Amino acid sequence: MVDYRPFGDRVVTAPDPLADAVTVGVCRRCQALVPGPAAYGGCPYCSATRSDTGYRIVELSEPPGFTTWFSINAEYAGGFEFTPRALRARIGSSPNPPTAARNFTVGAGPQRVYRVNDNDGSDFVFQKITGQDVWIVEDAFKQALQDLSLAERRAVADPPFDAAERPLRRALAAIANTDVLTAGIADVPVGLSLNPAIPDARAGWYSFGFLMRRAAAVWMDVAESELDLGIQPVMDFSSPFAPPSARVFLSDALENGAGYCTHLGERSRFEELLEFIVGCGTPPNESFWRPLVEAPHEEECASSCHRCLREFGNMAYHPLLDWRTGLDMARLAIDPSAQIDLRYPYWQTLLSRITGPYFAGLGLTAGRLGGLDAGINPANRLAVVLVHPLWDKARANFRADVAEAVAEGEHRDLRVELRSVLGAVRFPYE
Amino acid sequence: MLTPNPPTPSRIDRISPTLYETLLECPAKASWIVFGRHDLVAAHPLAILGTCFHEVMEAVQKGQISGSADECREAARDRFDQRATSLHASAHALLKVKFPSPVKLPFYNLFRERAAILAAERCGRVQDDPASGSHGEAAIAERHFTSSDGLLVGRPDLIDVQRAEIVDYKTGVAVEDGWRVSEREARQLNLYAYLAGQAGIVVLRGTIVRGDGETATIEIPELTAEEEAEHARAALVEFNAAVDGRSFSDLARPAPDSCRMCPCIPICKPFWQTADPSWQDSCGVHLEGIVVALDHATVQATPLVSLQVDVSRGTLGSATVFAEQIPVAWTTVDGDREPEVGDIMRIVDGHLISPEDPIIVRADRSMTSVWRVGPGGH
Repeated sequence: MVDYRPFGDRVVTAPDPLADAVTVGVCRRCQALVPGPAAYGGCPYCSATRSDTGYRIVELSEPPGFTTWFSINAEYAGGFEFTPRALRARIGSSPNPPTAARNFTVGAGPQRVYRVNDNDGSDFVFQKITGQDVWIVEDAFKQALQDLSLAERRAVADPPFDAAERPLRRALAAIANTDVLTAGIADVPVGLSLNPAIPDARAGWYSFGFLMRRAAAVWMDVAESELDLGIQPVMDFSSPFAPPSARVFLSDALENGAGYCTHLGERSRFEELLEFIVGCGTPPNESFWRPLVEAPHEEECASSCHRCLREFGNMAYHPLLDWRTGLDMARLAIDPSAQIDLRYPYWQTLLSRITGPYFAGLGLTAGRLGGLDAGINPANRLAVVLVHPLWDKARANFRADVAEAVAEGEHRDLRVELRSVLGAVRFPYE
Repeated sequence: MLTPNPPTPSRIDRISPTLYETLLECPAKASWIVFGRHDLVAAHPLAILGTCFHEVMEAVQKGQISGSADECREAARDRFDQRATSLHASAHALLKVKFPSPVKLPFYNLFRERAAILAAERCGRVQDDPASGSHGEAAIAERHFTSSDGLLVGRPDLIDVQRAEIVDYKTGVAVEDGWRVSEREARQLNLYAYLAGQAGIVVLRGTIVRGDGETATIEIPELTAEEEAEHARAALVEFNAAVDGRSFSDLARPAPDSCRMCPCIPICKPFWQTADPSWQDSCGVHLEGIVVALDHATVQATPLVSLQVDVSRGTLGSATVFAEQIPVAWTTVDGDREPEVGDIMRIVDGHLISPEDPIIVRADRSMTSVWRVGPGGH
């Protein structure tokens, strides 16, 4: 890393390219970003303890510039990471309280968006090169050498590190001020979990977000890449257990904002956008909804595809995306009593296709527990019950139909395991 | 909330199986059960659901729920909901702040469905016949019995007269295979058998039915039932002999197991004098200390207060503890003022987030309560 500056007719390097670090807390469990974090304690949202895989305090540096090790004669062999180690875009708590209508909350305004690369939770350890204002990561240097032949590698001397400068541990960040829209669910019905620390619920939030982004792009006739997306955990004090809930946020890709998000964040306009997604409103516009929920897409897409939620830019999210869950979130945002269950038509047809093969593949006999599909192994008394991705699997917050299935299983002396349809479709034998 | 005054113990006229068990554990807790102001402390949500569960089973045994299995389930659910609604309406304000409607009580649907399934299974098996006299009935449900000397009372869930069997329903399920009737449950069944015998009903065995329908049975010889009754009488006599001139604190016998989930913790001075960090695993996180700093915030339109407390007593030992994210409404729901620097506070059933210095506790358990110790210092 280096900070090149113009100096007369020359370019010079400025000292301390890693100066002005920003301290934040990041949680890998619930996606929180906490500006100005407390010096102690776990994640203020989901209570994850401090660890590399939970909540941790990170020193962020925005790289002012990069340099190659140009004295080495090596061709760039290229590299592509399908799931980059950088964390997803995050924002801190919103400065302005959102407004509420129907069953959604929405807010908009300028905010800082952080994109953090913390080396998969390990950070980068930068060391200064002697006599230069260049800082490098030794591990990265060694890894780059692997692109060379053995003979070439032997000819490269180790970097001369400046012993007088202590190494600096940093995560890299791109921090931008831009317009941000946040959208949440106001009232989460009993039996649902929107806790972003739970993978299924996190999938729901991202699916909702990318659905919203695609609909907004269609609606405003702009490219999807004009809008970035992330989720922001929020406290939910409607339960004494205070699990976090979340909001999805869209941000303008352009620094300082292009105005899209503030435009969409106006309450009545956002309501219209939700209505556009689910094909209601006055008059109803089903041009977005119908191609999703009708054949051939409905029959061919069990979770997500390039006709619904996937595109090149959201490759890292592909395993999480599910259009049915995304539509359920949109329907819930409009109506707190929306039918969020597996009897809803697009779930029912999916289940009719996958249940038999899925249970057969696991060596289970298909049956019913309560009103839910279950696969039962009479030999080891295991019963696998398929549940909706947004249904809470915590016993304290079972929906009535989940409770009925579990209680019936208990009564039949079965060991009941709840498995989300999303998991059954994507990772059937996990 | 301001800590209420403990009850003034007095003589107890009669003893039930529940009171008997409590006397064996802690006479002060027994005095709370009989003389305490229960309206000043929130009930455990599971206690409310347990009452609803028993209401359903009572209705089944009395023939008030009948029909096909599906009809029984539906009627059982309705009964459960009705009872939960009425109990919730009259519950302590703190419970209503935490759980604005009964369906939000933790485990509501699971308890409700267990009751519905058990009701459907038990419908029409044995039912109480109120028209019959004390002889010749098939079953007797939820009837009050009193011993001939008036000292022992009880209300068994069901007596299957023809099978000479006491049946007691438990809302929980066994955590392990091969479970048996516990000593505590056996004492309860023995006392019921004794009371039934006093009423001329022969009982030879007792059965515990768990929420998942599993059962376990013990034989109850007449002599065993009589010995249990004698023990219960002795416990009552001992309490009454000890109670004159003694306070709630004098009677308390704090111990890790008996104080677990005890409603008296907020008011029990001996608990605070005795509890230490070794109690934490079995008894939970409870702390008392002086507020040295506080911080207000509003999150999601919910005003919160975080307290820095120099803890002097409880199951965390002496330490500086940060009690984070306490909804202000939880501290003022009884009309008391908000916490201030210098107040002595008790946090009961906290959630330990970080056990290492600095220790962090959150008030997010269903049983968490935050108390300000009043001038009496109880």
